Amino acid sequence: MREAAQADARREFEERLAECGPLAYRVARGVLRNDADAEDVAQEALLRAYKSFERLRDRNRFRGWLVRISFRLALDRLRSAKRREQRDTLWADPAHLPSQANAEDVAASNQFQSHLERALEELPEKLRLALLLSAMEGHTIQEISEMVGVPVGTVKSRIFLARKKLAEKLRCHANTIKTR
Amino acid sequence: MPCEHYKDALIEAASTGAAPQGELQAHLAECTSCREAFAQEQFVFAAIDSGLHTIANGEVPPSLLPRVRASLEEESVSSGSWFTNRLVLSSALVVVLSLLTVRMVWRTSPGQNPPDRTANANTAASVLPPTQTHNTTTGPSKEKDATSHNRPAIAVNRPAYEALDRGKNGPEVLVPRDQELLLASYARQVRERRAAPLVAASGDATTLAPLEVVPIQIAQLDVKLLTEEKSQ
Repeated sequence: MREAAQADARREFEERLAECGPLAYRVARGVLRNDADAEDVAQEALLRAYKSFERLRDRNRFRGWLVRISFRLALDRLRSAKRREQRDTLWADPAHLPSQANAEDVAASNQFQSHLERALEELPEKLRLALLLSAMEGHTIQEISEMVGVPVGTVKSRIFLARKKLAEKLRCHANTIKTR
Repeated sequence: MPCEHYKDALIEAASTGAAPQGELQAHLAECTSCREAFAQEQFVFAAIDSGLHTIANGEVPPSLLPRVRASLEEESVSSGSWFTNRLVLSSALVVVLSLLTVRMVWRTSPGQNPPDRTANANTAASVLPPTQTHNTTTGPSKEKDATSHNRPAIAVNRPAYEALDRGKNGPEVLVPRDQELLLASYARQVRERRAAPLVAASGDATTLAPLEVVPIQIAQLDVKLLTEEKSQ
């Protein structure tokens, strides 16, 4: 009896995997800015989701649930990576650190992209998740509101606020690109 | 620099991507600096949206789904083996507990108490049958012949000695030949005092037959006069 229920849950999860796996990856990638880390986090998130899949009453909420798991795990990993980075920087030999001259060689568009990623990282979590989901292809405001579990108006205001904050931080960088 | 009055409206219009309406539209038509600022804001938001699109829609590595499927497979296998292990462990625990329970019940039920052999054995081990003592400690046959006058008493007590010998696991006590019987009698009294209920209840072979104590025979002294010794 239990084995049959497990097999059913496994089958249903497999069906959702192809659709939701990329979503978990992209959410993680949006937070972590690293492909390998994002893949690890997506895998972990999907595994956790699978373990608790049988307990999920409303299966229609699976996408939102997975998004929240991925986002949370990615944030955790980002924080621990930052701590590690700080520790490594403290102990590293300054002679081995990359020189500032190398950073100046980076192309303007790449510079803006890195500024954008940094600014995105500094956004409050709720704003960041709403903005990332809105930037992903195929997500309407209604879907985001269902995934995140907040009203449509709240999603709209979060996206607006997030973009405004980003614009405040990136205005000077964007103008630099434009003048070139 | 844009006009302070229109700054917020200008940013809002640029962020939504909608064309300016009404008063803002009229102002933009007249004010060059606000028109430039508006174009700049539109560029900033377009750059942000483009960058966000790149970040949010990165290519998903093809290894992701196979990896997840493999980990799911591992997970289901490990959970299955965990379930089996738990079943085996719980069965073993039940068996052990039932065995312990049976043993406890058997120990505590009246009339099923095993005899307290330790006290008996301790007492018994302190005295050894004279025959065995002789065999192990003193070997010469001449000596056996010389002490053959003690045999009847030992023969009478042979069942008792055998019973005592069964519980022999303590140190051997060597006593002088003429005190063996006395010591055996003393040991019996001690044992009877310690295990009186047991003796009374069981009445088995450990019950000693009444001892026949042979009176101590003292050889007559050969008295010689001092004068006779001197003459010799």
